[in-house]
Formats: sequence, C-alpha cells, structure tokens
Amino acid sequence: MITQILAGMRDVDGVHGSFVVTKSGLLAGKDLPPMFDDAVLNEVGRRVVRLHDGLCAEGDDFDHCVMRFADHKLYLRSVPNGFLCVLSTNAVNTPALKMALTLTSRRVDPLIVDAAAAMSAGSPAGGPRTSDVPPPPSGAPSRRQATYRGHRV
Amino acid sequence: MPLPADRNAVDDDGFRVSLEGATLPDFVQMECLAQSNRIFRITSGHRIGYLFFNKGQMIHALSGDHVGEPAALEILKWRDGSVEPCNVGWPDAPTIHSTWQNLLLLSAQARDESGRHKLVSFPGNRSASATASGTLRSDPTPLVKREEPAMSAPPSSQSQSLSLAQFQAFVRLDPAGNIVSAKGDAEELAPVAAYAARLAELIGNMLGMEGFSSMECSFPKDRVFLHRERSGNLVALKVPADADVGALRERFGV
Repeated sequence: MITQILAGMRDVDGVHGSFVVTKSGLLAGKDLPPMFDDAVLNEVGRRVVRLHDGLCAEGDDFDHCVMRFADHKLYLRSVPNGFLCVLSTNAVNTPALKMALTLTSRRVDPLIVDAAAAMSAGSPAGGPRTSDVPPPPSGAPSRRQATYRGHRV
Repeated sequence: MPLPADRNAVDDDGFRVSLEGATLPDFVQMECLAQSNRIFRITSGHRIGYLFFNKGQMIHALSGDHVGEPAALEILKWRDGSVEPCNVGWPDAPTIHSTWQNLLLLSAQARDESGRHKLVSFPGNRSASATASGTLRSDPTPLVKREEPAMSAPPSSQSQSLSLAQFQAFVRLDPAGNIVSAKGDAEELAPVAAYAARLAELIGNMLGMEGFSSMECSFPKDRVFLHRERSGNLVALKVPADADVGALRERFGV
C-alpha cells in the first residue's frame, strides 16, 4: 500500500524514488530500485533520526530538510509518525516536489507504524528486530496514531 | 515604477547626523525603513558611488565600473567613508529589482566569501577622522573579522568588521571543527552544524550520493543552512523563517 502511494512521487520529473522510515528509523516502505536494499535503508533511517535529533535539539521539530549532493538531492519531510525521504536529481522541480511531498506525506503517515511492523516481521535478517515495535496489548484496540491534518490528536 | 524625477532638491529639514560605528548596510536599512526618496553619494578613499532610494527600496546604484545591482553590491563592500545626500539625475527606470533585504544578504555573503580565509583578531588602532556629516566607520566589536590588507588597497580599508546583522547566527568551521569565524549564538550552532553535516555525508554515501555540498532545514521559527565550501570549511547560518532566502538557496543550490 505504502509503495503504491510512494510511486506517485515519481510523477515529478527528476524524482528517482522515495522511502519512509518511522520516528525510530525503521523502514516502513520504499519505492526505489532494488539496489537500495532494506538493510541499507534501515541504516539510513537510523541516521535520519539522529540527524533530526541533532537539528531539533532545541525542541522545535523541523518541517523539512533538503540535502544537496554533487548530482542529487535528498528531501526529508517530517510527519507525525516518521520521515518521508525522497531522492531526486538536482534539477528537480522544487515546487512540484513540495506539493507531491505534502500530498504523499498526508496519505502515508497513518500507515507508517503498521507498515514498519509488517516489514520488520517479514525481514528478520536485514530488517529491524521485531522487539523494536511493541505489539498492541491483548484486547486493546489498534494503537495506530490518530491524526487530523497531519497532526496528532 | 514612477521615479521621483521632480524631487531632486535635497530636503533641508531634519537633523544633521554624525554617526560613528555605522556600516553601509546599517545605513541602507535605515533609509529603506524610512521609505526615503533620496540619492546619496558614498565616498570611500578614492572611490565614489551613488545609491538611489525610492519608496523604501534601493532602485538604482552607480559606481566607477558598474550600474545597478553590481554597483550596489560593490558599494556595500566599502567599509569606511562618508555618506551625503546629493542631487544627481534619477534614472529613467529602476536598475535594481531585488529587495534591499536581498541586496544586504548578497553583500554579506560576498564579503563573507572574500574573507573566509581571514582570521579573527583583536581590533587594532583605528583612525579617528570621522567628523563629517554622515560619516561611517566600522567600529571594533567583540568578534571582529579583519581583512588582510591588499597591497593596493588604501589604508582606510585595512580594517574591516563582519556585519551579518540579518543572520540570527553564523559560524564557519574548519575541517577539524575549529571555529574560524562566528556571529550570534555560534556556540550552539557549531556542534549542531558539524554533526548534521557529518550525518548528511554518511547518509549520502550509503545512498550512493557523493559530494555533500549543502543543506537547508526548515523549522517553525527559523531556517538553518549548511554549506560545505571547497576548502572543506563548513558554513552554517540561522535565519528567521520569514526571511527572504532566495539568494541563499541559489547560492547554496538547495
């Protein structure tokens, strides 16, 4: 499901693909060529979290972050349940990308926690430990975070 | 934009001010915020330039070799001299279309780039010749960035201070993490910048993206820019969220 949503990001010229990680850095979904394996993206996710924690040491959460490299850019959009990360060329149409990021992050955010749990359960070797995602207490309702317009409620 | 061609006469009302320690960016800011419609002659050593203000914007500039924005940026580099209102002809049309905030930002960047290899040092003796009306002279501040004098530069330009009033914080770190120059709350910004740049490089390497060059991070109240210079130095800037950062983005490529 997340992969299908992320695929929409590639409608924007210059976007190579995207992936989503939770607030603890676990991979929750990706739409990238196969050379980006889950183990690498999990490690990237953990570093994204550390980057976020470093930049947000004063308390304010960042809205987005753009890193420019020699030939590529990496966009990070912070959403309540994780980070949406987009790889693009340097010549990407930035306004179009921002719009796509906004729309995609709204749709992806409610799915992140469950998707990460599913991915970690399905990839014991390269993926995260299942203990990283606490199971819901027996008899309790789903712990999916309720959000309204991208904000926790 | 209609220009005040019929307002060549200098208004004699008001105070005559001798302001020491001001810089040209300070002066530009003052004129623009005052919505003035005036022309000023800027003299610095042997150099003369003109700045034209109309309705709170700098709309035209002239210097020895340049017209418009290049002239404005050249004049804004001058550190010592005098400013006086004058009567010269208004241009037929504005030659500067950037906002004055943008111009000051570009000027600060240019000055910063030109002095990036310079060291922070204590202020030395300074000439005390500022007596004329509207004389500007850079005063020593606790953190003063001194330009090494060019062989051909006039003595008056030998001492220069870093004026980056538009940034909440600024810091330049060498590859070893030592602070080369700084302004504002650099002690807090420096470690954040160094760590973020390192993580960005690691993230890029893992994703097959070499050559980290810059980063922009947007917060509710401010933005942080990082830029890895060719020398390996890292520049970090913090600006208010509502600041016009188009020039910064263009320069850093983010």
